[in-house]
Amino acid sequence: MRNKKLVNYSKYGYLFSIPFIITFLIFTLYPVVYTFILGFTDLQGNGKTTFHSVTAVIEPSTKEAQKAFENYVSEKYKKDKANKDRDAKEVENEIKSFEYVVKSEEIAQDKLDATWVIATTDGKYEETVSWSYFADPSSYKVGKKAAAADADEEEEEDVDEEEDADADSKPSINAKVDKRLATEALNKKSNFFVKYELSEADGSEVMKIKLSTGEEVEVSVMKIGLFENFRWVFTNAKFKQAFKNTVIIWVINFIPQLGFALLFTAWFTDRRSKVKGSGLFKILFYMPNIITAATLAILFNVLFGFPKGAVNDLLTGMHVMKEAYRFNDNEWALKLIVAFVQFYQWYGYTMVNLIAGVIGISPEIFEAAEIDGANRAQTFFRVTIPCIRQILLFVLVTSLIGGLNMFDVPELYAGVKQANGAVMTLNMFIRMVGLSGRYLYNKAAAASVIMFVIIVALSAVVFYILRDKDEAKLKKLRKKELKALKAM
Amino acid sequence: MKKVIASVLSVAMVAAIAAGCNKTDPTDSQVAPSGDDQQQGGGDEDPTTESEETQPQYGSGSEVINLWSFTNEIPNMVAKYIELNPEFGEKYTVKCTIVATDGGAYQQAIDQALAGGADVDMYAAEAAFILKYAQGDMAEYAATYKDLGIDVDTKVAEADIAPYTIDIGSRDGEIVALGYQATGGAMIYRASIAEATFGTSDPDEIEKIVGAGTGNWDKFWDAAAQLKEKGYKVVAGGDDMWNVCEKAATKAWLDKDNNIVIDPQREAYLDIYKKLIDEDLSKDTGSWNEAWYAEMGAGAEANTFCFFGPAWLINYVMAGQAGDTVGDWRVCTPPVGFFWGGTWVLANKDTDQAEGVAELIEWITLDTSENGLQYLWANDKMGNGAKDTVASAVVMGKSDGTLDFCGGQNVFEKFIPGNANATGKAMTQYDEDINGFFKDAASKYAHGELDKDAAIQQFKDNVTSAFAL
Repeated sequence: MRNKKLVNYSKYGYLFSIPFIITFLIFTLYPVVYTFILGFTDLQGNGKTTFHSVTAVIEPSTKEAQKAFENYVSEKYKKDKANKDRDAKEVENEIKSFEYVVKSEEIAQDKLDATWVIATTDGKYEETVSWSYFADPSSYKVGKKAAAADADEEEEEDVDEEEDADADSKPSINAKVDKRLATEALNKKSNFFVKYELSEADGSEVMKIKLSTGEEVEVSVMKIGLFENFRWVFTNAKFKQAFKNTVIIWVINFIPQLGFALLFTAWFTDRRSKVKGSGLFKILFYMPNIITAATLAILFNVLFGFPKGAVNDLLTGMHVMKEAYRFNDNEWALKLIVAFVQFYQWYGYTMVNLIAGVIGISPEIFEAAEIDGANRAQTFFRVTIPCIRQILLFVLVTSLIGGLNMFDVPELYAGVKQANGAVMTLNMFIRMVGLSGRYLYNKAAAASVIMFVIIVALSAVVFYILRDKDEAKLKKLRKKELKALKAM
Repeated sequence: MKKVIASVLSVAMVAAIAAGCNKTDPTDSQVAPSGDDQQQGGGDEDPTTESEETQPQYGSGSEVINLWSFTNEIPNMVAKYIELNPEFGEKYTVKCTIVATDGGAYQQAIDQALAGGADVDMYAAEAAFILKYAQGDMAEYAATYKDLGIDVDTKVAEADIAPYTIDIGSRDGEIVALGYQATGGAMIYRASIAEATFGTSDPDEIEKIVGAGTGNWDKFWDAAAQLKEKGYKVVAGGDDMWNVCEKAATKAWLDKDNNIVIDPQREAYLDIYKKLIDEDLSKDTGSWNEAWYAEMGAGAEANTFCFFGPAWLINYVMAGQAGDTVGDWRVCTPPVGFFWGGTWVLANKDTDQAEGVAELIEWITLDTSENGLQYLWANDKMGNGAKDTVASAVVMGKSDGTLDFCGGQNVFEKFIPGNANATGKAMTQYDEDINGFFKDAASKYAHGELDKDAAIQQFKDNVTSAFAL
């Protein structure tokens, strides 16, 4: 009977947690997943975004396009070991499918109905564009013909294959444009794709579209890559700088923060010596945490202002320095200031958490330690700290997450441009890319996902290091026992 | 007892949350003081016009006009128009949405509203981002003034609107936006310092001394050297010269293919800034910070000769900081022409209220009568204590620009030619950010931390990395 009651209560528990699970799904899981998906698209700008699931994000100029094409060919050839045995030409032909971005400002609506001829720049190969009606743009695949969505499509494919078979003897261009997409894109003034396949060409580069009216339209090459945004983020100098800055500032901030917190914890929870007014101290140390970042930014700007600022005036007045120093333009000065502000804000919070943990330790343990003759330092390091493992884990993980997410103080105090990005953190980089300037939502999404992965990985590492090894073993033993019991 | 306290506290908490949901304060607070190139349409930081409401409403008519702006300047104009034309107020209700520009909030809000098809009939854009709405990514949402029913071509010629206002506000040759202010810049200098150094403070004489209108800084540097001998600094810091250099350029930062182009006028800023530092001709303050404001005032240490700025710098910034030096300032034409800031008014091409919007826009930007906004704005009839330069040269000509701040000088005489110097052809949508990067690189070069090529390379690297070019 007792077991039945227990089971009932847990049912209510699950029931009660359903709204929270739904909230989690809608407001946490969905945004994270959607951001992840965004990292694979070309969503950018405001409002007039066309959402392609194939990333098409580089639109370099003609010269760069040529270079990109050459690099792409040679790299692909080199990377594929199997290609060593194959004919170089064969491989090159295989991969010469590009999607060209046609800049829509250069084609007016009425020209869309003109006959198009896609030609290589050296004029060797030409092909009249065939208009087809792909149902689904996501069916675009590099190097492959789009999946047929309607009968017309299949017919054309068959026709083309036949043509290809015939055309084995002569090189040709197979070009298709989705007219509906093109029309839509023209209305929205965005770019759209011209898909073509160049078979058995000898390195010629398709770079222009000739209309039947005689005009020529410039096109630019687009490097297709599903992970293009992620690649861009990883190779971006500013991202690397942001990551480095974030880690450096966090480490400089966290070590003193934890050190002082532990020190104060040791002092305020010492059983042998009661610190008078420790309550007041705790309040005073916690106060900086409730000051807003904006206030701190203004305060420290006033302190470190140039040429007139409190610190400058003080140091020149005391003749430590001859003239005012530009703190806000020096890379390391900025980092140290920001790290100091973060330390100053959070050491009280950390201390309060740790004290809460220490208070929870049963006094008998301390008495046993005292009886065993441990001095203060030994008690602290051998008894207190191992007992507050869980709280320490909480403090470490929240500090890690908060530190890697650091945004408000550096953004308000200095910004992404100050001293060549001296205190640009990961979050500030994401905001700079995605929410200002060119509003590159896709790249910002990719950077967000990368940041998320880094934080999760590091948190997992911290969890693993601080796991209770004995308890893990106990759990395993218990599981075994239960299994044995059930078997019986 | 405890239960009572607990329940009272929880009710208070819920009430606070409910109150917090309804009220949204317009943040007229300062943007981060370092680094950001704060471009003002004028009046952003005027504390006397701060209001709690971000959704003021004027008029009582049945037709609704939705107006979006980032300060309450334009809503106040609407209020004035309804005061002067009650029948407009009986026909229309103008609902204003105000979102401050801090942190890009206004741009995000208006972008979402326009793209999402929300009810936006009229909206404003500041110089820092007007290009995006008149010619760039968001230009497709703007209606041409002609489509609204305004006879733009004749009216513009009649009112003699400053050309750069038209350039910036034109999309494919059609006007989609016009500014009501003219923010052509002038040199604002201290008469007492001029007397002490050059023996005269007459604007025309000073113009000759600094080489006004010559397009180069040669005589200006001579004057600076003279000032230095007497113990004065010519400008407060490098940023003052930057505004002039930036807007004096004829080529924009990015060309058609999104390559970075450094206009010679802007590249010259590197050496100008370095000269200021090396020869100790300035106080090396930034801008929009304590030390910069202090140079406008009467403190014992304030010994800066001049500032460069449009009329709004006088009205909305210096007036507040000047203290005892009110009346000690004069205005003259600068050596190199420039403009700084401004607000343009646009209409949504999908608006239902084309007539009403056209009426308002015409009154704000093209009406040269004595009841037109331009005249009221220029002659301190709006009640905000400022005489601002306006886009219409006709109105400027018949307005009285005497300012106490400038010792009774008619400043309009000097600002009108300043407007002619301005050109909008060298702007891009991303100027604000690109300028920030360039100024940082210039600072490094000027203070000797990098040589010139390294500084330029750092600038280019930053821009390419940040903008995915």
